[in-house]
Amino acid sequence: MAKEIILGIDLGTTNSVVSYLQADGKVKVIPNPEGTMTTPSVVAFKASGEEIVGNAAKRQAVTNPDTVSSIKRKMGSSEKVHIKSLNKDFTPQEISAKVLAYMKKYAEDNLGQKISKAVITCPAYFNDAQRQATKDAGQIAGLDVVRIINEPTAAALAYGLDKEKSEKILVYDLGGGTFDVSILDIGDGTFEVVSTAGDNKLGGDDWDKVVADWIQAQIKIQHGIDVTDNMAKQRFLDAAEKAKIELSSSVETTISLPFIAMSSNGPVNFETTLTRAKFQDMTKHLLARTEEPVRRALADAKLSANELDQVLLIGGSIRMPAVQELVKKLTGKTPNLSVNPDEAVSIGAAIQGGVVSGDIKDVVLLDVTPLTLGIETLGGMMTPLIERNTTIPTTKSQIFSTAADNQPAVDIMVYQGERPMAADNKLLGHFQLSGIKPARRGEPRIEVTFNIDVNGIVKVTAKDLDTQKEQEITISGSNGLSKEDIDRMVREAEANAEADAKRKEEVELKNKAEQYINSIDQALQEKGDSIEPAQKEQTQKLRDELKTALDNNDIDTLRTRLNELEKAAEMMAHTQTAGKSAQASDEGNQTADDVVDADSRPKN
Amino acid sequence: MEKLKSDLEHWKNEYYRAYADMQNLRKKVEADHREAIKYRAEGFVDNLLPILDGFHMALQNEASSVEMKNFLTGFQYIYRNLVSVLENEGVAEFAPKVGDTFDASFMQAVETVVDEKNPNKVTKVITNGYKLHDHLIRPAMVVVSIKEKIDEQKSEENQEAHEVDA
Repeated sequence: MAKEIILGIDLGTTNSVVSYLQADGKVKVIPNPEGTMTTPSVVAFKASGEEIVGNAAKRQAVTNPDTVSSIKRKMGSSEKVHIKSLNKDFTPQEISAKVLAYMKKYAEDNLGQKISKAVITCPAYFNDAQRQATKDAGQIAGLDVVRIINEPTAAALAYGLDKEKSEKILVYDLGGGTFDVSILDIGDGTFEVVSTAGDNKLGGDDWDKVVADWIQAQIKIQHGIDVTDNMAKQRFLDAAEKAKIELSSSVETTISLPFIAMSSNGPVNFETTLTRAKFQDMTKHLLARTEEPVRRALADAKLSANELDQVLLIGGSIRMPAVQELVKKLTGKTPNLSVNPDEAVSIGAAIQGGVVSGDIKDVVLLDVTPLTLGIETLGGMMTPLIERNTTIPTTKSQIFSTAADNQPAVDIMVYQGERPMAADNKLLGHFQLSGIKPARRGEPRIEVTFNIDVNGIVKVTAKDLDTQKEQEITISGSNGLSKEDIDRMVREAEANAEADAKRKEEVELKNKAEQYINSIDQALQEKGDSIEPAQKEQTQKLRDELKTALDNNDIDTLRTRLNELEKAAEMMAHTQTAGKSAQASDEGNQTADDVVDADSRPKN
Repeated sequence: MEKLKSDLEHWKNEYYRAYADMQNLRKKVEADHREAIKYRAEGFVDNLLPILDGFHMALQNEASSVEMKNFLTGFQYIYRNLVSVLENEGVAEFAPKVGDTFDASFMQAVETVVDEKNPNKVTKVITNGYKLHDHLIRPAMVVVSIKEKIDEQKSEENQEAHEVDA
């Protein structure tokens, strides 16, 4: 049976969002049937008894007086909504329940299982009656509301803030139609809302309206006509919203409205550019309206801005650079923007759901490897077996071979780090696997297995697949690195990426050259007599050139000669089968068929 | 001994559950991936719509001369080519007709006109609508007939309920 899912629902004034905690501990927002992550909190009734919720309800709003939106503003009051076509009154919680039921339904369809539980969010300033109404709405929708949590608390959870760590944070939430500021005091296992302030008639839509009005005025200036029909106004609003969004990432945008109206000269086409500076100037009075609530919230919490530990921004409108700058100016803190601002509240609710069900506890047990683990191979290169950020426990194995003819033993040097050359990384330990039967280089098959258990203990095993002989080492100190060491090692890898890549290429070229020299020697020795003297001489010459370049560390010559050789080898391959050992011998980096990623899935 | 048995049972359960979780997650990820591929053009199509609208609006004009008529015909062909490229990507254009019954599942009412005898019908099509597979990229924008004038006061009240401050 599938595990029980607790939905996280952000029941908003204008839009709502639903998400859930996946088995891997990541929260996923569930899209509605039209494919969007947010659903308008709008419900419409028809005389036929039909009820419409979400986008469709919003689309028919102007035709139907029995369309209800922003019901959240009435939650907890005794006021009822009269639906004329049915001659019936509905309580705010009954209306909200229809939005919740709609979201529950599409969540069930999306996840393919029944859902009966949810965590629902509400504004921090909601009183008991309003919270009870929210809970009732869930119940009417067939949901057992396991928790009602504050929107800013949900945001803090979405940002992964730890309730054990004592912190004071400010949450600035500028949505489509409402603005809220909250100050949270986190610590001792609780999230306490210390103060709230806001403006519940201010949101991103106001910014759009300012730009739409400006477009209308510009048309009047350019063309001398006042365009006032509803359809044109809708196009102004759409263009304004698009411009606003574009100005969040670029400093100038073009607003283009072909055929916006008809005049005696035919169609009126309007085009203009709007700079970010101009946009910010014309909307600065709106931005200013968010300043006072921030100051008030701080004053009510008896805090000065520099006592805040973190500032979180949520709500879609905080994508505007001017908003981020203002918050930075007011609080002196660089705001944290790492979570999708439209989805943060719902994500936090889903996380709370996971805490309630105990799933979160299960999940955090799993750790990841902080750095890549691998072994040193030919030319001093690091061949990674387990990449960094792999979730443990895990097992990986790969088959390697010898680098010289009749090599009796291999040294397994285990390294940790991100640099391509083994010596630049941290040596964790080493051991020798001996007793390898005499054979040509590249022929023995030695399987190296890395196994990290749930406690982070690394066991490295090398096994000669020929003799079944094996040798192993257990390394328990691999997690002994401090956070600083790990960060430093990752940083160094990034800083040296270019130089390292060059060195890696050089080593690879040298390895390849050695391989060619080796196989040429072998071929000349074995089939020397059957080869035409002229061809033999030419091959010998090439081999010597390669050897000289290799000895002199002349990388450019090596590269050119190897290219020529590869072309020649290709031609040869068409006429005769090349010695098999010519291709397969290097450890790890060739695509030869004796180097395989073993499937390490446990059986059953 | 009993404790060991129950511990064993517990971990065995956890072990199978981890596998089940992983398999379920993989199925979900694969399904999401297929969705993502299916709808990869969504944002792009959305950005193209104003251009289609532009064509649509341009082509609605009556040609006042033979020369202009020929130009418009040419543009008509370009428009159709563009639409057919989009159709190949899974985009469906829907063009409601005047007199069609208003359907909020793919139309958006932008304005209303009073028509007592024939309510809830499309009286004018402003822009066509577009779907990508099952996702509605944009509804068709239409003007709709209604039985009686909506009481502005009433609808205003419903749509912007009173502020309830704590």
